[in-house]
Amino acid sequence: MSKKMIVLKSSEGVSFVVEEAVARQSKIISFLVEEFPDRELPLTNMTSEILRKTIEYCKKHVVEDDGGGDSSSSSSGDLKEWDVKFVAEIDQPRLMDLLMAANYLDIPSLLDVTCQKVADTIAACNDEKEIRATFNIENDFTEEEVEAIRMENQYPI
Amino acid sequence: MEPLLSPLIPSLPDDVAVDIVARVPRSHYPTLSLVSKSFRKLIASSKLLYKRRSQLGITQHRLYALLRNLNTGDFSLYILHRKLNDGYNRLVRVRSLPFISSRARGSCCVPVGSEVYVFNDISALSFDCTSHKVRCIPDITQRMSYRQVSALGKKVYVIGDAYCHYVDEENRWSQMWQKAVSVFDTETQSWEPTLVKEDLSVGLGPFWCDSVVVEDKICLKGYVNGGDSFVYGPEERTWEAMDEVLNSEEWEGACVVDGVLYYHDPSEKVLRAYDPKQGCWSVVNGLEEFLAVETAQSKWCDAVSYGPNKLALFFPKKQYGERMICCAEVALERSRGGEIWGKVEWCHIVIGDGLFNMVKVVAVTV
Repeated sequence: MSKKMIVLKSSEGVSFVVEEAVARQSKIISFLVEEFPDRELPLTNMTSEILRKTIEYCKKHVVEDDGGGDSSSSSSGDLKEWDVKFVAEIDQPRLMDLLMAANYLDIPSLLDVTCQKVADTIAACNDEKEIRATFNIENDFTEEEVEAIRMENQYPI
Repeated sequence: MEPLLSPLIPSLPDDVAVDIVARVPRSHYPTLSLVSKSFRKLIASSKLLYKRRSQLGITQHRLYALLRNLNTGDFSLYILHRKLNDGYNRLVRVRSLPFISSRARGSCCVPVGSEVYVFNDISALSFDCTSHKVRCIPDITQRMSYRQVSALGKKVYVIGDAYCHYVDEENRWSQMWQKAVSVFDTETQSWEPTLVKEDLSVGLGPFWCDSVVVEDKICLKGYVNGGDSFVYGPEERTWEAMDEVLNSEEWEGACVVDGVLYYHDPSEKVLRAYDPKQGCWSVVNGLEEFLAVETAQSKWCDAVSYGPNKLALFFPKKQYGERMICCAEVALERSRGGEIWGKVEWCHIVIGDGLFNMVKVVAVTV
């Protein structure tokens, strides 16, 4: 039995042919496939690189329902390990793009792992300056305000 | 959600950014509040973050320390903050605790979920670690001395010596000290009606220096070498003499991580581990050098379980003639051969001036 395929198109106009079951992990695509069957789906705000990454993630996470269903708990542990490696290999700007893609396409599990990775990045920063530099956040405090907050933080009641 | 000043993280919608911040360990929040005005506002409105954290099912261990100021005699709760301002982890004062007897010892203090319970000679109180509020709770129904307080599930077991009335063989009323167990249910916030008198011994004692919960039983370690250690099973109310091997080491300031008991042996400067499944003691590998240097002059060292495969060691140290308290976070791992290895993740001076007595450190989940 041949699997149903759908076509996703990146912002650069590159087409990706994906199994429908893989793409349906995105709630948005799932909805679009039903509304517009047999059509290419243009994802104009996603680059080919990010779309390729997203598809790679979805392929790994697709639930095979034709395999006889013997999914052991160890495989879910392996999957977690795979997720950690998957996000570890991505640099900061692309991670943010991937997170945005997960948010846009509504893929909860991918949003989960990317958010966690960003949270880990924040926690690994040594001070507020490093956090600002990593995420391009502008410092809108005056020196006095910073001092006042530092004082407050000494007694967090 | 109220509109924030500028986006928390440029290029991300704020609802996603809130999801991210909710996943950052709370101990980093003081640093986060210094990032920008938007961050400051988000951290200050902790309700939103807490809601999100509980929706995401994120709980974490945080360390609170009960310290006594030697000059004033006051007791205060401190929280261990990560990377505060200068990149060091510090104990920061949360609030002072009223009505605590100067005789209060670590054995009167126990964590249950996100709360810390303190049962001392003159009062009983609980401290909510999510709101940092102190609440007085009904005091124990009967006077009890030399208490050891342990928590199992949602119940707190206060074990100590109670002055009990009884009728003797010649039908006379009499009074004497007897071991008793009083149970406080944290769900109903009340004491169970009956004080359980135990036929363990008559008179004061035995006296215990430490207690831990291993395999749903409370292990009470006697001061005296050998005989006076017991294991209490709250389910069936059983008293047993402590396993000889477990009792063979003079453990104090111990904690239990993943079912294994750990304590710092001050004479040998090693971290010892007792695995009840194997029934034997071992020395945690990989820490020998660190402990030999750092705890060389430490008279005490308290271990506290700090999440899975992790413990924290608190110990005093003298530097430049000043007393200070250090904390080291140790990650624990079992090798294929079954040996336990420890790795020091960090070790910082967590409180500087030598004004404080460490009463107890507890890990709560918030």
